[in-house]
Amino acid sequence: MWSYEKKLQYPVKIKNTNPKLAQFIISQYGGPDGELAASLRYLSQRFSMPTDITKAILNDIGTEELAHLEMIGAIVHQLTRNLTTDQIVDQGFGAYYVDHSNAVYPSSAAGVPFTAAYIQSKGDVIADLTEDMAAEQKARATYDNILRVCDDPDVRDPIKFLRQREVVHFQRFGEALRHVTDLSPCKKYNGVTFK
Amino acid sequence: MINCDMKNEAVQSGEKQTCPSGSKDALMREVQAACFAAYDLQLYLNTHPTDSRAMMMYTAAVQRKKALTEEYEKAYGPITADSAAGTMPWQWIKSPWTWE
Repeated sequence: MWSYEKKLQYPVKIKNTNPKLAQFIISQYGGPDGELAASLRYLSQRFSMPTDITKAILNDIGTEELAHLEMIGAIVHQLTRNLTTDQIVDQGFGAYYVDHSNAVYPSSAAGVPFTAAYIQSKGDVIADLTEDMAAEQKARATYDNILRVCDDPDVRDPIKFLRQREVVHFQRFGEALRHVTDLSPCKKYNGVTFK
Repeated sequence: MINCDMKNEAVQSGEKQTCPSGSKDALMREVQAACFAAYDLQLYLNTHPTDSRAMMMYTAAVQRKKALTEEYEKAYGPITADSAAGTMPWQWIKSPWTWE
């Protein structure tokens, strides 16, 4: 089970509002390569993982992704608080504002609501871990794109932290995949014989 | 007004399970009951932040939860990764996991 700790994994302290930037960054909240998709993917896949190492890595990274979801939510919230009407209209925030006011809603940068179609849970350890490695690289690439369009150091700092975590997760998933493929060929996991 | 039997109700509300007393499953059930009692009081205190009777019950529940968790972990292994500090090999990853 889970319990909540009243702290962020890495601090988010943003001084200046910037609704345009918030609209880009919300993709990491509820978009195709976002933190919600990552968390649901790993926490769902863990049930069919065949070994201690693969169960632990999906359980723990799936949990950390929830902490990242919280950080992205905090960034979006801080970028959209105390907005003036001019800012809402001039910075292209009107469409989002009409539907959600200043609330944080899981959608992509293009406004598509979150969908479980972003993830797979295949029940095949090779397929699942390979998807997970790709997911980490797609999230890393999204953070690179965000860093290209963002010059506020208050936002860049936590985004760089999140980008680095994608790299670490990719590394750990790679090790988990190698551990699985290195298993003795006569050992069966989930009915799959590794050759 | 808080129901003073809340904690006992929480313990008794589940289906009767056949865990021999003193077994791993029986101790886990006590940990679960103690943690749930503390958590349920936490929710109650959120909407009744000045209820001193509830606070007394919460304080007692948290103490009980900590003591039982320590007892369980000493006998059967870590419930949190922090409690696996110092184990070699690393006991945190060891099956069975909660869903098994």
